[in-house]
Amino acid sequence: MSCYLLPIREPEAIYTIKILRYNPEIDDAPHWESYSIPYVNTMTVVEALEYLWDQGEYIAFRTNCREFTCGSCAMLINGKPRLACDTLLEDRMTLEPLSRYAVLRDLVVDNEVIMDKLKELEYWPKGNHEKNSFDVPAKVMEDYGKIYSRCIECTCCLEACPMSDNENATFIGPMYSLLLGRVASHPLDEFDRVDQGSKCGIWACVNCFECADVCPMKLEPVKEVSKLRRKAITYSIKQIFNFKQRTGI
Amino acid sequence: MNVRTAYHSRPGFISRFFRRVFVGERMNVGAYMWALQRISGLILLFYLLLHLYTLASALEGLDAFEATMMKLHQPVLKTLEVLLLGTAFFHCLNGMRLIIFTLFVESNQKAMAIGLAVVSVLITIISIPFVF
Repeated sequence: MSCYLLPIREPEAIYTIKILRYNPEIDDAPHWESYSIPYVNTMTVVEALEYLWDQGEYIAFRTNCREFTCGSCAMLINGKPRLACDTLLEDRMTLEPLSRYAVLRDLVVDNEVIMDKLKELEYWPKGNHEKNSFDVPAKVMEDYGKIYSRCIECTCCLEACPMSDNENATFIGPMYSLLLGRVASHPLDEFDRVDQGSKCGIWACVNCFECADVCPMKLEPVKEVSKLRRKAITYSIKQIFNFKQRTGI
Repeated sequence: MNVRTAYHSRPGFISRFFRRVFVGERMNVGAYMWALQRISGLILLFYLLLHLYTLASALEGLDAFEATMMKLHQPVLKTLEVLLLGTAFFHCLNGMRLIIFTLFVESNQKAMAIGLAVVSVLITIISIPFVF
């Protein structure tokens, strides 16, 4: 089996990388293995893994677009969640699968739980879909273009978040919060996203900006959490005034 | 899914934080502030328990209470008291920073963090003559 790489005839250096491997049919637990890679300029981690495939080292990993658009090649590189296609190879690098999810094999994790969680959150516009015309504020359009539509759902932010260890944690995590913020600002959505956000633990975010630090798209999900919080505060204040109107107190 | 899977050990955030500090990795200012907020919170909690323990000597009578108070009039303890004031100011101001950040999303994290650190140190220095 061969990948897309041209044969490397004149490498600039020989790099050694360590990969945490796990084959459920053979291994009882994950273990580290070292590999030598002939480095050429601008070689990425994905290309290094493909080189190993060409050499008969069938290390399981996910990759699709190879241009940081699909987010499928997220892994722990030197202990930090990053996209393998967006990271240049370095000597003595360590590659591990994301620690938030169960490892299926080598660098491939079971991320079906993400789809299950997204279904559970119902993060699509819910409400009156018969409405033919609606106004979209310019700010919402701008947010969709600059923030919401740019999230590639690579889960790097979920991996980095200190307050969200898994899908059942008190705080659902930065990526889900961003997606929640996206649907909350959708003009057709009439679902109570403020209440949903509170149930999803938006108040547990500690504003550490770790999610923004690791985001390959340079997004800041923590700011979306703050926006949801502001919506919740505004909603609560409105409720107080409604109470006054109703009771006359 | 009926596939055999494995989790590899995931160190907690505090452990990851100190590991990153140890290797000299630069982190976002928010991460430092969060860690310091936790540490200062724990210090204040410890002080609160110590404070209650000290005050409890009043239950044994006025003499016992005054004897305990006399023990606390030492330069080392006074210095610790100044440091405690600094910790309390930092904890309070950092909490205010988080509220400001929540209310005004576009506020500058780094400027606020540096500002609160400077204000905490200034207030602590001003408080020195009042403690000694």
